[in-house]
Amino acid sequence: MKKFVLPFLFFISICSYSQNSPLTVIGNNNGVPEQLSMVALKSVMNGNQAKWSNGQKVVIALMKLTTDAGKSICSKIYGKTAAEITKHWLMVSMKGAIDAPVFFNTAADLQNFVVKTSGAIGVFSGSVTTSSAKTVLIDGKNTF
Amino acid sequence: MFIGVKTKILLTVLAIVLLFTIFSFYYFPAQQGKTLLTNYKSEVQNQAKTIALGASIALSEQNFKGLKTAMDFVKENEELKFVSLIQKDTVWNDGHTDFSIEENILSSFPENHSHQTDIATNDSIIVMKAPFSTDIMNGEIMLGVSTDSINVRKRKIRFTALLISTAIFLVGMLIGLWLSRNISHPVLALRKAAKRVGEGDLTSEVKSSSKDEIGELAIAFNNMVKDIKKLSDLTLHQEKEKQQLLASQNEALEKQVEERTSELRKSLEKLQSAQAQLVQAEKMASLGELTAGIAHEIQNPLNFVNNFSDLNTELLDELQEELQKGNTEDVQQLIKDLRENETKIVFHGKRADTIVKNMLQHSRSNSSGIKEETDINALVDEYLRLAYHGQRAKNKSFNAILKTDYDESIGKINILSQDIGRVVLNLLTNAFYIVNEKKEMNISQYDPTISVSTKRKDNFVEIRISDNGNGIPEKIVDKIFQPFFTTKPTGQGTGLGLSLSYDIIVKGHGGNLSVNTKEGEGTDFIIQLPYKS
Repeated sequence: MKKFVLPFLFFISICSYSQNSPLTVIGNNNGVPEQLSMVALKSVMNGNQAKWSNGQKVVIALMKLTTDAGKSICSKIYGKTAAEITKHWLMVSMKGAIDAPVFFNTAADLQNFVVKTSGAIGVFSGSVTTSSAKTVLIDGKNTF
Repeated sequence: MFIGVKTKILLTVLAIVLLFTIFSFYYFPAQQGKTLLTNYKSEVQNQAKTIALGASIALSEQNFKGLKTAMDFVKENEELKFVSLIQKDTVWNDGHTDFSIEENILSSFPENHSHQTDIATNDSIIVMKAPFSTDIMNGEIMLGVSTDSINVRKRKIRFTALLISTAIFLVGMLIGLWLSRNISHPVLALRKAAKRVGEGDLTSEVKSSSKDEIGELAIAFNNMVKDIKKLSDLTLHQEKEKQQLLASQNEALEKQVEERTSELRKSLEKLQSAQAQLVQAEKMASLGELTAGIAHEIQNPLNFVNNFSDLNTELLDELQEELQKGNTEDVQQLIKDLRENETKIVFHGKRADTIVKNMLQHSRSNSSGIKEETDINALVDEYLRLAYHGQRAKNKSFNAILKTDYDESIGKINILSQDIGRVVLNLLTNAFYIVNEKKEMNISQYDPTISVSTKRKDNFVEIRISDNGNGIPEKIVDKIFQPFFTTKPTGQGTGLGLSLSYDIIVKGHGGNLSVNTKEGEGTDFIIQLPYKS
């Protein structure tokens, strides 16, 4: 019995860790605010906001939902499964008003994209490796 | 129903042209339309598949831009009615024992377009679906394209087909007219020429410039007509020669016929003369028979006259002697005897006179050829006696039993008495000849017997003359009435007796002369004379 329980508990713990990876939000220096509330972040992430206060178009960058960070994004920001998020963005993006998020396999690629794209805001798991992008505080925190 | 070559050709060409027209106007556009639709459907399907593939890749990579790009691939299509991304979820029941597929349209372009997920292709729209499957979700791309452009292209094809059909029809009809003109005209010319040839015009010629079978036929026809004309001329020439030959032969034949006719006429005259002589001979033979009978009839009273005359001569001598003696009584007796003898002489003289007068009466009465009332019984009886005495005059030893049976109810009938008498005499003479011949055969207990009878029947009088001679052989009985047929030795018969008798009875009196005979037993000759002739 122990043979099965221990691996199962290990798997469960792994899974729960992956879904609870700390997420960091970074933003391009053009348009993206220094800090956001969780509610505001969720609103932006759901495509409810098309432009930043300076008029810059909102561009969302996310880790792929199949990655650990992606799964954490699913649970912490969207509270939905990857499929539900995909459907959501399919419905939203096809209308053409708001672009769908851009998904990345690595945090480095994501950070690099955010640095280079005006109005871009990215969510990933891990430390910030570039100084050109600013960390957006969520509810006053670097990570959540 | 007569259908000319021209009509047949036109009908044939018309049928072919109509077939082509129908093909080009109906079948060809229909097939083109089908092909067009099939190709278009295939194209739409490929587009749907392309989008589905793009969606599959984009969803796997979570590259929504790629998906949008894939969707944009068809948005520029002017015929696009809609493009939809449909998500398919498997929905299980509470017990997780059964499931259903739930389809949701996640997105559509144009955005305001709404449709059901089960919309199908119809006349106005082509709907194609292409499935995709990713780890995140399964679904399909539904692409709806208008058929307007297809219909426009179909209309163009139909219009083009109409133009082509019209062109085919017109060209076909022109070809048909040309063909009918080029084929039927020479054929009709041939027919016309053939009719003229049939009517006897051998100068007919067909002019045909076509270098084909009809042209060859025209040449062959012309050659044939020339050959027929040659043959006809030759035949006419031969016919003329034949006619001339025939005419000359006819002329020669007519001459020969005339000559032969003349010869025949002469022969006929000779024959008629000979026949007249023969008839005369027969008459003379008959007269001989008659004369013998008459002589015997007259001889008898003459004998009485002569004997009583001789006796009276002797009595006159005795009377003279008795007168000289003065014996008055004897004289008176002798005168008495003389007177009696004289009475007998007168009686027998008158009898002879009566016989002669009767003969003369018969001969005179028939010389005119007019029939007169005659006592047939008396006539027959008279000729019976004449014939019998005639036979006895020729043969003193001849004797025969004569049986007569006359029907007294007959009375007088209208006949040529001399001719009928000659017939009766001829038949009786033959009968006496036959029985005499049989008697000379010394047959024991044979008594020559001749039976003569008359009988009145309903419309005719029958005279039957029978003998008990040897009869007539069966093989010659059919020939006895033929002229010049006789069984008597040469010189004793002319062979005309029965022939003339037949003519007298049948042709002269409208009666009948027949014979019943049995070989070895005897013969019956039956004369039937109409009662009122």
